Amino acid sequence: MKGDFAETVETREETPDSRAATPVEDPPEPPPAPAAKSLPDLKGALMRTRPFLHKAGLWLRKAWSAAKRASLAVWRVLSVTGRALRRFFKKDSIPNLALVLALLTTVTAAGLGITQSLAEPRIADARAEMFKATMGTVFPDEGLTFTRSSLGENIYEGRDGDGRLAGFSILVSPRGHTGPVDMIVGVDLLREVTGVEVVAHREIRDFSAAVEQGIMEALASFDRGIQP
Amino acid sequence: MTQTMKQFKNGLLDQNPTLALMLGMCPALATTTTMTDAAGMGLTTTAVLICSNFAISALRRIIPEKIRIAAFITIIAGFVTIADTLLQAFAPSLSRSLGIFIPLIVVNCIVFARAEVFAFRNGVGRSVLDGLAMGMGFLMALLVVAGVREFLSAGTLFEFRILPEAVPTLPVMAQPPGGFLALGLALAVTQAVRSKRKARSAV
Repeated sequence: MKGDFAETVETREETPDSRAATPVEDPPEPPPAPAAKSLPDLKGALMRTRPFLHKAGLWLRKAWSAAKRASLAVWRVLSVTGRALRRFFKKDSIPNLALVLALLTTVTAAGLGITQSLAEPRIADARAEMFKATMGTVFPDEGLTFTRSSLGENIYEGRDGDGRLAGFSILVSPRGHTGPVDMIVGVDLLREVTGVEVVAHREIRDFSAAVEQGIMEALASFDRGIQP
Repeated sequence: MTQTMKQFKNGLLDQNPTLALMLGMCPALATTTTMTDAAGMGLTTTAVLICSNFAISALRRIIPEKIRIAAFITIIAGFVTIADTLLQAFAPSLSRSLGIFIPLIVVNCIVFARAEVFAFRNGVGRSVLDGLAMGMGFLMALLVVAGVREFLSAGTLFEFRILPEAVPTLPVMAQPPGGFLALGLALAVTQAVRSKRKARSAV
């Protein structure tokens, strides 16, 4: 079926070209247009996605029934807890108030702890990616590759194309107004600071320009060759 | 009209939390400089609304009246912190551009008001639907304001360029005064539509 369609399209493409030909000179040979480019093969695409949609539908139904079962289980746990509380404590008595709050905060803290531990590696990866992308900006040379250094946790060694050590990139996170300000400090082999770049900060928007500018101005006021 | 559809119509139009009830106007001013930020904020708030309405409605018979506010804050803050952590892990650029306004969802009046007025007094299914409806209404209001602001200040919508570069824009719309203007206009239009509908139904 796809072949028929392509042939129809090819014929349609040839006709306007012959109409435009002038009798004096030969028209330039048009580049052969591949049939697939002129109109998308919608029906073929739809046929191809059908098994995928079917699988997605099955998965959705399974997920929905699993969600229903999970919420039913949660509901059962809650009603058992509620009935137990009612048996032992009157609703507005002080022990009951304290107990409900304690249970609530414990469950919330547990949930937060689980989420934090699950998301921690992803967050660390995202930060590392962000740092790697900007590590080269503090050095005047281009094309340095950075690897973790054995000197410390947040120190990266920069090597040029020949594998020679060119300098170090150090991640620092001093405390800012709203939270830590992540910066990269570039240090070359003569123990001179080559540059400082602000990578991320949590300052509120009105401060952000002042943060970056202030740091650059403060650094510019130093002479080069700071001894650590 | 079924009960569900009535709830959705309520959340989106009659009792739109930002445009009709005038709740949650702080994020509506602060996060609407671009439509992507507004969409992220609206979706995060919707997720928090649904989860907190679900939890509070499920626990409504256990929580005593006297400590309900403390319980609400605990539950809502828990869900907002989970949302913040998940955003930092899976959408770091959105988390950085929304910044401090994600943790501020805890004190967003919409979440708290729906917990107090609806979730504490209704069943779980209804409360989840209410959270979804109100969240969608909030998202719609944010997108409207952000659309106006982004279009007038940069000529783009969702960062697709609509106006050509040469057309002069109004950068003030990206700043706080422009935010107030855009929100005020949206509120005015909403009030006009509502009063006209009320006049028509009264007749």
